[in-house]
Amino acid sequence: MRQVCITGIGIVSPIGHDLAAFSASLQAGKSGIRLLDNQPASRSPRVAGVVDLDLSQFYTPSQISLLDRVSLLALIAAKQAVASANEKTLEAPPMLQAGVYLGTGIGGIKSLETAFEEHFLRDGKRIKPLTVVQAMNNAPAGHVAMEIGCHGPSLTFSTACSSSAIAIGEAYRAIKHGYIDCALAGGAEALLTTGTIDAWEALRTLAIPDLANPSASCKPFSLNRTGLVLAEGAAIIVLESLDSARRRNAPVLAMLSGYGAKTDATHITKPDADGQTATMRAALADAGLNPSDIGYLNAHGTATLAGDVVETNAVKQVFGNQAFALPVSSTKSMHGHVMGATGAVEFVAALCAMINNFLPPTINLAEPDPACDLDYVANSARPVDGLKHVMSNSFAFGGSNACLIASRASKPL
Amino acid sequence: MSSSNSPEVLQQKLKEMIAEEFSISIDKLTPEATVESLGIDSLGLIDFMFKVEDELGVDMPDSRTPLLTLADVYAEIAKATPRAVKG
Repeated sequence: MRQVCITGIGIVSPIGHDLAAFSASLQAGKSGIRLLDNQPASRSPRVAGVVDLDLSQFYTPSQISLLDRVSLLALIAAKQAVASANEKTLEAPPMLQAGVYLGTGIGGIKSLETAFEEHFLRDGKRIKPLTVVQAMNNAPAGHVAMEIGCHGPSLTFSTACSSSAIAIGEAYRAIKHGYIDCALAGGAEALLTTGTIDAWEALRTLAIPDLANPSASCKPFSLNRTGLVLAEGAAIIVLESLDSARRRNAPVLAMLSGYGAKTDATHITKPDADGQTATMRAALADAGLNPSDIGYLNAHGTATLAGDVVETNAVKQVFGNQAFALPVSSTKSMHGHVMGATGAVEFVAALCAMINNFLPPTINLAEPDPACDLDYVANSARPVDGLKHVMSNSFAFGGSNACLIASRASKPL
Repeated sequence: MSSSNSPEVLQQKLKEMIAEEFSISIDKLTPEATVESLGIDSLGLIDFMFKVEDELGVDMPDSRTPLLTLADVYAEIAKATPRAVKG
């Protein structure tokens, strides 16, 4: 079995449109959550994590017309990742044979919703002809493969909130076991449409906007938390066998050392501590690590009433008494819940912690819930020396759980 | 097509729309120019025809005729009928 490393990172998120800006925002405890503009008058104020990026900087009007926003965001992240991975040496193999492993929860929903709205409100016969190819869940992976020129497998994982963590984990396994040498792996989501937000509101899981300070609406582990905040974005990393990276003298940013994927098989939405525990243990076993080796955990931490307590309990089951000494934070407090892309966004957050030597905070945590009694790195980032191993949790509706572990590269290459 | 639009007026309007949609110089939009040579792919053309329907307020027939040149595109659009207004 081969070692798998990370040689490139791309991200476009509500708290930064590239890796440097994203990391700086994590370190500053900066929120990217704000009130949404242009909402129907019949709706009460809404908050979300928005990517405030002028896409016309990157694409022609014709391209913007042909691709859903989810694919446009994925392409930006993919190009950043390849550029940061010493792209000149990627042009030949390994990139030619690279796989594209992406996760998305709901794909091109904006195109689908817009098309259906026009379709049913008009004569019910006419519909935008590109609706199918814009809305299909594998459109982002297809466009990334075309843009970068990857001829390996192109796979799309749709496991709700764990989609992109699963995508990264499955790409890691494919490299580890020799099926491919290189992959672009991560996810994209662009679901801030009126209908989608209505549906989430109906489920009573969204945070009640903090109208005094909308940017503080997501309050993981806090006594006054009210739910999750939807967000959009994309994060894609270049994964590569260590041999491949060495052959082309690529920068090794970190190792991907462990992946666990388990299913609760208990309830379609209710989180389950035993399932989460099994997932974290599977990742540790895969990495050959003990719980005490982990120096930072990026929690799933959605800020729902049930989820934060269940995850806290699962962390205690896995880490025992050491749980209280483990820094655990929910960066969703800053970037929101990026759904199918959130696993990748948060794995990148964990990488930022390890590479840039800081613990990202859980902001908006004035008064912790007594049932949430771990060290959540409340409100401000903390400097830290030499994190060796970091973990990122993703727990999804459907009970599909994933956990990723990254480790510091043993020596700079 | 509406009788108020002569073929020349329609073609000029379509040329302007194509030039803007695909960022192509209007000088290159001769009737014999192939869609492929102008860098317009099949999906882009389908999307454009949909926009033409909206812009001109017409419905195009559900045709499978291959549209290889701009002359083919103009001819196809000329078959469009004014959109029925829902009562």
